[in-house]
Amino acid sequence: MLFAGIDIGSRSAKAVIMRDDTILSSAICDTGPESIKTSYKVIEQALSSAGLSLDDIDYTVATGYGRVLVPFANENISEISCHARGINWYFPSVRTILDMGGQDCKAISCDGNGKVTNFVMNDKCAGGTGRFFEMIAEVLNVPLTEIGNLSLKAKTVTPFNTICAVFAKSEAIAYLKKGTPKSNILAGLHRAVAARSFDLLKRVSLEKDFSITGGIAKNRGMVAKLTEMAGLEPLLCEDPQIIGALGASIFARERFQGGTLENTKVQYGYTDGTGNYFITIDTGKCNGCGKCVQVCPAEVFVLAENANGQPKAMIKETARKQLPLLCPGFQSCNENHEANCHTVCSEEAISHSW
Amino acid sequence: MINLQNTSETINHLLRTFRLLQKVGRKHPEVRKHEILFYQLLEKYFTRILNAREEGNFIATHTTFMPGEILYAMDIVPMQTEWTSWILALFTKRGTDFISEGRRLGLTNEVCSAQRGIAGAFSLGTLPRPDAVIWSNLICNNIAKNGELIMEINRCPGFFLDHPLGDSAAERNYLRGEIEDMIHFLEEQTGRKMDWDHLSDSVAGTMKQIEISRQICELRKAVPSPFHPQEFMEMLTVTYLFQGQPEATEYLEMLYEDLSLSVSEGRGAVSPERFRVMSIFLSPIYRAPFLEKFSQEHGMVSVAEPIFTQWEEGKLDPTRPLDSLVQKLYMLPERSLYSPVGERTLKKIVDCAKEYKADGAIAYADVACQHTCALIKLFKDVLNDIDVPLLILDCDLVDQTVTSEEDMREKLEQFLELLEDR
Amino acid sequence: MKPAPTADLTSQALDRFREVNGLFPETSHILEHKRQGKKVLGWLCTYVPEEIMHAAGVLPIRITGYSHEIKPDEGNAYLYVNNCSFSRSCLQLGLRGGYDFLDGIAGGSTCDCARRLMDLWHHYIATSFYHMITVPQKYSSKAHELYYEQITQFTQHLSEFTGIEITDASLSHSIQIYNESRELLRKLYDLRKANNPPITGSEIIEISNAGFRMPKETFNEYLKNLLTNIDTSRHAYSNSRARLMLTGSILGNHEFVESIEQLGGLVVTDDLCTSTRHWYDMIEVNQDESPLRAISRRYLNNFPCARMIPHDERLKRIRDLAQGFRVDGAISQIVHNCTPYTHELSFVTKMLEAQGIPVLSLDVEYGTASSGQIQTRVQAFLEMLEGKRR
Repeated sequence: MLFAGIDIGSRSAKAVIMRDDTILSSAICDTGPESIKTSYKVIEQALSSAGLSLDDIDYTVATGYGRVLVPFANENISEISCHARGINWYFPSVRTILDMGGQDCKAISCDGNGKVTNFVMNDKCAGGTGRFFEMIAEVLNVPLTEIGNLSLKAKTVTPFNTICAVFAKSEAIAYLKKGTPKSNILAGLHRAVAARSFDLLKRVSLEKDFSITGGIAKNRGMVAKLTEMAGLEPLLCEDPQIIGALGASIFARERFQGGTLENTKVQYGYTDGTGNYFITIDTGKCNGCGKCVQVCPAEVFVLAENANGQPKAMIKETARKQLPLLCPGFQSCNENHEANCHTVCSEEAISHSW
Repeated sequence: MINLQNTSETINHLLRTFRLLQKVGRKHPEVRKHEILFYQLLEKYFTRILNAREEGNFIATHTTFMPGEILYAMDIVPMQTEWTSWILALFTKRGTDFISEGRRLGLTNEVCSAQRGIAGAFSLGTLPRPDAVIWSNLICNNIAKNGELIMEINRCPGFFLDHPLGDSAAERNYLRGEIEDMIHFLEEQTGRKMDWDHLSDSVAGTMKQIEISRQICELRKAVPSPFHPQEFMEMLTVTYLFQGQPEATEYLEMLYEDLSLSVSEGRGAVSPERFRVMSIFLSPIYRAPFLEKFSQEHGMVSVAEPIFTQWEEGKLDPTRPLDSLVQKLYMLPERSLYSPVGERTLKKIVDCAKEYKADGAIAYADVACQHTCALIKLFKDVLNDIDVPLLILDCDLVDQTVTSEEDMREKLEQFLELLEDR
Repeated sequence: MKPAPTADLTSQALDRFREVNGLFPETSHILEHKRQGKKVLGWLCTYVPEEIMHAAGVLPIRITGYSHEIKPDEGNAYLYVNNCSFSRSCLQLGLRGGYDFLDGIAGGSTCDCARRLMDLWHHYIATSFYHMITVPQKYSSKAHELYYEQITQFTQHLSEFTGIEITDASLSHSIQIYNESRELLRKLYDLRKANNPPITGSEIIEISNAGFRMPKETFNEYLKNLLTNIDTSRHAYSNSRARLMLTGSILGNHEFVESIEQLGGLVVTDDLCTSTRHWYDMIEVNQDESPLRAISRRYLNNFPCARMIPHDERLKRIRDLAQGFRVDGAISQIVHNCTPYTHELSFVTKMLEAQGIPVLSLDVEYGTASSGQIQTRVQAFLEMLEGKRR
């Protein structure tokens, strides 16, 4: 089955093609004046690198600013939902997302299934968005892709009190005239933008596993400033710019197949003639606290790193094949032990089938 | 959320700074006596707040235009929200933290940064937890609507004092009733009784202070004018924090003597005096040093602040303290912003410009202050009729991120050029 | 979503209200009233009792500014850019002659922006009648006394202006007409409790707006006609994803509500001063009291504006509405620079969320129909509500 997600943003358009749960290809191009043309351009770019044509796609979901103007989309879903779903595909543990796009900035909270639980957007103002950085790059005459790196080379950080696009521009020009190095000016602007984005994150409550998406997430200077401010290392995916489109294509698969996928639930155990014996761990919910490992009287749990290097509760390799023999099942365990894997798990990530 | 440890550390830091400033002041003969007294009074005010818990004293936090005389008369430790948080922000450089915390609490940029900062300072535990909040709608929605949030943050009771819009007999009577109810509230909360004799003394003190303030205003009519921009904020601070108390009287007397000496010697605050300007609304607090320096460099002197230093006509009668407090609240210079702004206020602006021989006027337009900014057009029009140009300077009273010093300098310089050409 | 235009009776009944909005202020009612030499006054804020004006033979018209989002040229020049866009819209319309048909204006000291709007109106727009009512900001018995005194003054001023004596009998008559209106509106609004309401939130705003622009007697007739002819099996919405409450500042443009409903959000209730809050409480005249007393009590106690302190009563009523109309979520729309509602937002949000009702907060310019950003937020909010249900 083939699915497409397309994200028509205010500055750039993105497309992702998936076969079931695997990304086949993606593409990014500038959003032209005609949104419909742009949508064809970006999808064809993605399709051709996967050797496919539009007819092969089973279902398409559009998102982004221009989502209602994609003629070949079966449905449109807001970019807020798509970013949450997209990041969940990469990092199921992420609960907070900062999406820094072309014309707005959003902080999103989501659950272990990538469902949005809360979101806030920047107040009406271009400060701190992609467009803001484009303008700054132009004023300083530095390529947009270089501003982040250059900001990291600053010897001192030029204080910027404002990120109002209008005021910041004139302040930057004033500093340039004074001979302030561009790197220092950029460091100051990056810090001011990071401070504001951090405020946004605080409003949805910042959880340990957080990620940054959108074009600005490619800016190393910005990521460094946010890391410093939050005191937390963000989980970054290869191409944070396509996350919206990725989320859209995951939605496309779900909508096509009907219902929500629960791909974060990992089952251990087996079935025999006497019944089903599975322990299911929702890795999206599991926060790797390790309490289950400590309390389990049968010692079937272990804490290990998943593919993304995050600690997660798992069932010991050696226990998997004899699970019902070691673990008496939740009912009887609960009768005998006040503290067990269910009661200590604050995230309710563990369930038993017996 | 409240961290008392943090609070006392912060206040102690503040007290050390005030003591240092006094010490430095005493070593420099050019620093005038009232400036040293200013820091001494701040030290006193904050020491009372710091020690209140230990001494078993009751702290009431209150908004700017609450009659503080009542708190002193009941031996309650006053903690004036705006000024304590601003002073804290200024001396700890934590203003941005306060404002950003206020934003997190749900106060968006539309709420003035002063009120966002107050809520933030309480929430971060930088201001000590009060035992009660008393607040009013004098002078704006922001002050009125912040009270319940401050109560919630501090989990303490509160009393809202409602000011009527106009000054009819019924409205004055209502205000009197509100003040009475507030006294009952405080009596209930503290278990103490109002000391009416003490209140009468405070009212007499307030009357005295109003009289000296009026005399100071008279002195500022002199050419050259003796009053420094920095003194404006200091004077407001002292009179707001020590309403009716001997401390404020002492300060004002000292200031008055110093100014009259300057006048008799023909000494101006700036030399040579080239531009006399009238200031409308409040200039940004954190820019006070800049304004002082700019004034000196350019020979600009602020001769009057019609909405902050010009008391309305009237007298207080210490034998009738409640009626006097009502009367005082109607005489407050700032109240002209609350009552319907019509001919009377406009006349005051025009008269002030004439009497103080102002060459121009500067309106400090705080970007989040609605009720002041909405008057700019009215003021500009009436000043224009008497040929006094008005500069509108967009700024923010406490949030430094709104405009830059550069921008302010540029606009002021251009304005002075315009005055020069006339 | 608005149903396709048909010649059904419901649509016909609705079109009568739309006609008033379309022609305003050149409606036959206003023209006729003026032709008879009677006065037309504008009023600002729900704390100005309409019954008193009505009893003085006045046609009261609510000041609501432009019905769409404007470029506030004069609005900014006079009121500065930081005053709420509602007050700037009203002043601009006034300065451009849009309210020249009025003989005067009456307002209350409800909030800073309203106060300043009244100040500038008084100074720059000459009218023969101008009245400002002090509206206490609390509910104490002394506050009620002051408000009563204030509207007594208002009554006298109106009598002098119109030359018509306002008597207990004429006030009682006016109360009867206005109460009838409130009863009819309650019946209409209650239809929205149904799973598939026969009337949309957008249509409700259109009806409400017409009510501010016409004689109450005629408005009541129109309402009766609608209630008689409305097809209660009509499904006004074709696309339903969640039941919503609208909360927040003054709202004038029904297209804003329509844009939410087109995305699948059923706006089934609200606490807006241009809708539910305006008519909510009845005037109940007790024995041995004057009608003016009853008016005074009702207006100060009515479903409160965010200006009132303490806010407990407002929060309680919002909660009751949210439960009564079984809402899944609430959209708070706050007119840019509307301070009282901005301050109250965090309290409303906390209270509703404790009831399991998420809140989307939107910062809007008065009169806005919608925008890309608003659409995105509303859509994401509806997706979130759907996700919560699954």
